[in-house]
Amino acid sequence: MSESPEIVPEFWPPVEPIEPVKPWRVHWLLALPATVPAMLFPRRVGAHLAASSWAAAYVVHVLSVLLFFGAFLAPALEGVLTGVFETSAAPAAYTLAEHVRRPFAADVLFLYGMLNNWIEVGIFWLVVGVVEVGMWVAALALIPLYAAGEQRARLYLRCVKLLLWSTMCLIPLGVVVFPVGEWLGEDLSGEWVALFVAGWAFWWFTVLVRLGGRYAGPKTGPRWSPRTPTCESCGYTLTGLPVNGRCPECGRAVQDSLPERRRLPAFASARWPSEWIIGFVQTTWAALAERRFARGVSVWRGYRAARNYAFVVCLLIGLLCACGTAPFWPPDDVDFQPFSRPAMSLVAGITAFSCGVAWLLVAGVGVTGFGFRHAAARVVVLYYSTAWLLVVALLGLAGAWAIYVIHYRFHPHGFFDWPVLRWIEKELFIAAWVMMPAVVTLILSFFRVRWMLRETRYANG
Amino acid sequence: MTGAKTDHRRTRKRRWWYIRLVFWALFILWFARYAYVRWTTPPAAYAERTTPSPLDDTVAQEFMAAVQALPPIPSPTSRPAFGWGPWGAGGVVVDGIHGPWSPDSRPDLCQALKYVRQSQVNEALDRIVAATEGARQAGAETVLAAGFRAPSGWLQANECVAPMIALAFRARYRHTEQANLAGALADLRAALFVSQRDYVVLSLAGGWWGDQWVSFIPQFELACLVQERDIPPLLAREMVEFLKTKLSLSVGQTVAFHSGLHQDIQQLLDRYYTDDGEGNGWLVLSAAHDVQFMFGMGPSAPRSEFWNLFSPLFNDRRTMAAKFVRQVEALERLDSVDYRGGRAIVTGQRQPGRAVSLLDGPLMKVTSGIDPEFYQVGFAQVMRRRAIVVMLALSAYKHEHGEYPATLEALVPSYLDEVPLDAFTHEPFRYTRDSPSSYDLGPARPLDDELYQTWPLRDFDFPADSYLPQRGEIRVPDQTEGE
Repeated sequence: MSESPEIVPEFWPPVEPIEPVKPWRVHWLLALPATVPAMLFPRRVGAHLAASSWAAAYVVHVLSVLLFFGAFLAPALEGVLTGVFETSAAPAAYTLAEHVRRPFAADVLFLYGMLNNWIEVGIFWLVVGVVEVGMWVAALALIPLYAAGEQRARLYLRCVKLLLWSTMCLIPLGVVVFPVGEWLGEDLSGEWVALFVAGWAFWWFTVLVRLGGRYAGPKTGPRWSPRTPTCESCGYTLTGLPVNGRCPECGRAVQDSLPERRRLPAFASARWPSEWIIGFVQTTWAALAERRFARGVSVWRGYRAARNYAFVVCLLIGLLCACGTAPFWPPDDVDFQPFSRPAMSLVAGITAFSCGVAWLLVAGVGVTGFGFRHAAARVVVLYYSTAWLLVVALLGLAGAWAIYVIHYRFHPHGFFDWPVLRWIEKELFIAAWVMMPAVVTLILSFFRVRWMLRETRYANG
Repeated sequence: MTGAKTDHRRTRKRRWWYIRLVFWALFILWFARYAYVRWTTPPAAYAERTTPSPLDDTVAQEFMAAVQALPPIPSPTSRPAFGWGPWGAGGVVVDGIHGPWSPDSRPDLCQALKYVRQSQVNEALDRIVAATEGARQAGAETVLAAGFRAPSGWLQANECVAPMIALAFRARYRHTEQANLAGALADLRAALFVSQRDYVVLSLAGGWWGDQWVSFIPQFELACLVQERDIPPLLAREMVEFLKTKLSLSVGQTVAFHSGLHQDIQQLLDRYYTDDGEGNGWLVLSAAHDVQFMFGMGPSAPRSEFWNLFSPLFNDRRTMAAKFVRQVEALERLDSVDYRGGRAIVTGQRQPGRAVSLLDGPLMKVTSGIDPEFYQVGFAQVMRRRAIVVMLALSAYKHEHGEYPATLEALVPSYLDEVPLDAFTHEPFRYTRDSPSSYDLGPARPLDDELYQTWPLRDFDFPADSYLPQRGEIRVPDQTEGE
């Protein structure tokens, strides 16, 4: 009796279906206290916040913004009377209850003083409206970060809601930074304030990302739906075809389109810190060097690992820029430089990291078509493609060093100065050449990402 | 089984729905009542008298109209950086009339003189004088209160500077060229009254230090006048009464004026707070639009009663009253201590933890303790006023007897009820008659450096030796007059 050939089934079961968290909805009256655990354990609490009502999200959002601006305005308003002169009055000693009232009173007083007519009132509400609409637009950028495989409308609204909740991070900024600044007075230099605010921004971003780490909605959406087997090359439906056969449309082997053919990269499979480093190197090498990397990598699994990989790359780029640019900055006594040399290096690193993250968000929105495509699957490819950014950053830094060395060859006693004032033709020419590899790599990386996305367009695994 | 569970859940949900409905209904009812009360309740002052008194409005509006009728002061062509116009002009004017000058050296003063000679200007100044006379009859506080109640039409403080300077100029012109002593004194009374009003508005507003300098001008001009002319006793008595009653010879009262505590606390609270009959009430924010508590704040404009919904954020009437009482108690002590002691009291009020509280709302400037600068300026003003009172009496004495008295005691009771003391030390003034027609009047002890070196005093050392009678009358040669 001959064994019948294995047939491609009508549907393939969902790959790695996420089990939603049981939602524990936060009542709007408890929204403000709920921010404390949310800030401490954003990943654990975020799913419950997303499942809570819009009233709760807006209560926290409005209160956070008011508290922040109030904390900022209160010393400014009092500062009119508590100046630095000998005759200035000193601030009052507030009780705990008065401390709570103080920022809101500052908000009201400020608006009361500023809004003198209906036109100004109209402008104020217009600005508020634009900012709030901006929040809804900005939430689009979170789609690739938050995609759990649910329906896109639900995903988008979850992004908006969690973005509103994330403004709770303004509370510690207002409550801590400004009083500390007030307390330290002149001792708190602008450099430290800038670094503190940069640190806060980083923390806020991590909270924002982690808030969407778990999902507490219904199990509806691409993640939980059975998938029709398709040819990964042309999208032809393979249902009923023998596994050993070929696609009638493009001739590609059916076995090449089986879900199990795709595997997690080394970084996603790693379980221990030592494995992470090796896995990171292996994954980076694979993403850069393996021509068929996108054809073999699983895009329906390992989303979180892919996201972490991308952030590690961004952090590495920031670190490289911070260390690599350190000798470039002029000495501290130069007037036009606002910060000291180490701080400037740190600023360069933070800027590079932010650029990398911004690229991820913007590109993520682009490749997922504002969430209209299967966001989770497509962004996995995007995240692994950030390996190319690392190469671009390395080549750019090498180019900058080359310019630096060439510059010192001509001006051995001067500090580094971008060659725009003197030697403009020769140095610009050299600079253009030494930066060329980075530029070319950047352009090539665009095509590479595009190709990788095409390779995973009909991915089954 | 599943159906029963579902039904049970639905029933429980429905029950919660009713509870929610009740909760929200109660909340909306409570909020509606709250909003209605906050929206419709006026401050206590309004509640008692819903419409301003016709007298107040008439006086205030007449004064306002008179000031606005004053033709614009021409920009000086000779000293563009130091105009004598409304802003920051005082210094230059005083410098001009204080020292020797000639039309060539100070063409801007010629411009000023030509300005006060215009008939239109004279008419406007006459109206201002009449309005301030009316205001004084009605009671300064009433007029000032009227001004506060109608801030949208009331003048900005700096608008009063121009008439103040113009009146001082005209006073000099009147008594030097027209020998109109009564008119000159009336002009100076009006100018002094306006300068005092300036302080009241400014102390509740953001504070503007230029007015110290400008309001010094009429005082200085009066001091010059009483030494250049022998004042008839009747006119001198009238001026002394004005200085004592409409302005003040008390340090505490003068500093109170500068600090916005010039009036009864009850009245001040009534203007901005409601009164529940038990001494408490809430801040009516919509009524506090005339208090400019922050820089960049636009001119006073009516505010919606919507703002009153936020009044629970701010301290209530009782808390504010307690703060005001503390302030007034401190002010009352200022007349019983010397300058240093008063400064210690004032500075002590502004120690950490006691002064600026945002929860006092727009009035936080008033409750944040007496500004030592205000104290210093007020103190200097009282010193000058007391000296001028003595000088007026001396001038009247000379008018009747042809010479100055040997001692100040000779002025009592015919010219003064009592000789005011030197505010700095609370001791009698140092008085020496150099000759029958000259004297030296000064503080009992050398002035404290800190006080003496403040610029309002530096140019007004009332002893006769620093005063220069020959500094020149404001008189422009005929060829300039014709231009």
